[in-house]
Amino acid sequence: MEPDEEMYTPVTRICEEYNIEPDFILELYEFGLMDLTERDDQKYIRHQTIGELERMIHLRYELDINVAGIEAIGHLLQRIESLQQEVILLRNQLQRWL
Amino acid sequence: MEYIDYYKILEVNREATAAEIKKAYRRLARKYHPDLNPNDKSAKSRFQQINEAHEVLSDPEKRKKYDQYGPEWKHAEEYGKPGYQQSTGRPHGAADEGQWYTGASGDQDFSDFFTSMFGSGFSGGRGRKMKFRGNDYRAELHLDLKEVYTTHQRTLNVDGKNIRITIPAGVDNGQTIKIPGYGSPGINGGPNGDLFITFFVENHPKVKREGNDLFVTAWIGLYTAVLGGEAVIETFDGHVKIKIKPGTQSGARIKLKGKGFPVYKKEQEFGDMIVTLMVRVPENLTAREKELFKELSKMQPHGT
Repeated sequence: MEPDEEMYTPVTRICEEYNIEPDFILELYEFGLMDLTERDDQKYIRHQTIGELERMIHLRYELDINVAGIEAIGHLLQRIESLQQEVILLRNQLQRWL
Repeated sequence: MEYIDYYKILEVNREATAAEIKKAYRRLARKYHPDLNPNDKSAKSRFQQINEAHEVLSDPEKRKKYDQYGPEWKHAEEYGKPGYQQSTGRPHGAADEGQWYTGASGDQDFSDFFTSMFGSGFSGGRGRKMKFRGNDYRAELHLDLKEVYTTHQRTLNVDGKNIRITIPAGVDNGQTIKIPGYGSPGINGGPNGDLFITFFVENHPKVKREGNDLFVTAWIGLYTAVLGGEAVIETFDGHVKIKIKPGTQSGARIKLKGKGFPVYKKEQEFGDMIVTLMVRVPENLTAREKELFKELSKMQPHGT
C-alpha cells in the first residue's frame, strides 16, 4: 500500500523542492533526527515533520552547521524550551503575590 | 525614514571584501538566527537587519548603488525609482512574522529604506527554495480569568479567514496551543503551516490563580469573627456560603475543595479555592459602643 499522499511526501520530492541532497536527509535519519517511512524502495517523510526538517535545513545550509551540531542544538533548544516553560510557571505563581 | 548603515549592522568596514562580508554575515546569523533563538523577538528583529544588510552588501550592484548614494540616498529616486512595490500579503491580526528568514523564499520583510532604494525584489542569490510547506502563523489571545474558567468558542481572523476555535477551560497564562494545518497554505502540493496561539490570561482584581487553585480574601466583621457565623464568598459560578467558627483570627484560611479552577482538558476536575479571612475592626464607634468595649477590655486585660 502506498503511504497516504496527504500525509507523506517522498524524500526525492522534498529534495527537489528544497534543493538539498538526499544524503543530508539520510544522515539526519541515521542520527535519529528524522523519521522516514519506507515503501516499495521509496522513502517518505511525514508532513508533520517537514517543519522540523525546514529548521534543520536552515541550520545546515544557511549557517553551515553539520548534523552533529544540529543534534546538539536540538538538545539545547529542548532545554531552553523546558526552562522557558518553567519561567512561565514561576511567573504565574508569582502573580499571586503581586 | 532614516538612513540605515548596513556596514555597521554587519560590523565590517566600508572596504570589506565579499569574503569578509560573507564571514561577518555567517558569524552574526549563527548568533541571531530565529531558529537558534526561539521566542526572542529582539533576536528575530536583529536577524532581519543582518539579512537585509547581507542582501545589499553581498550583491555587487546593490552595494554599488548603496555606496554611491550613501546617506544622500533620497536623491537616488531622481535617477530611477524602484521597479515595483509588492504587497507583502501579510495575514491580518494573527500574523506570524513566521519564516521570513527562510533565505530566498521572497517573503522577507524589508525596511522602508530598503524598498525605497531597491524595491521589494529579492535577489534569490542563495538559490534555495523554502516554499513547500506553508508558513506557521503565531497569534496572541488575551483573555481574562473569568473567560478561561469555562470552555468556550472564539472566532479568530487569520490571514483574512475566520477560524472558530474551542478554548478549553483551564488554559494557563503563557500556554501555547498548536492548531495543525491552519498556517499559510503549502506551495506546490506541500502541507499547510500550523497556527500557534499563545494565551495571555489577565489578572483578576480579586481572585489570584496558582495552577488550579484560586486564592481570595474575604472580609468578615469583628462580631462574626468573635462569635462565629456565616460569610458569603463569590466564585466564578455563583456564591458559596461558608461557616465561620467562633474565635476566627484575621488571616485564617479556609479551603473550599473543588471550588477552584477547572483542570485543563479534564472534565469535572477542579482545583481548590483558598479563602483568607480578614477581620474588619469597627471604626467610628458610638459612646455606648466604646463603653462596652472598655468593659470587655477590663474583663480580658491582656486582649486575648
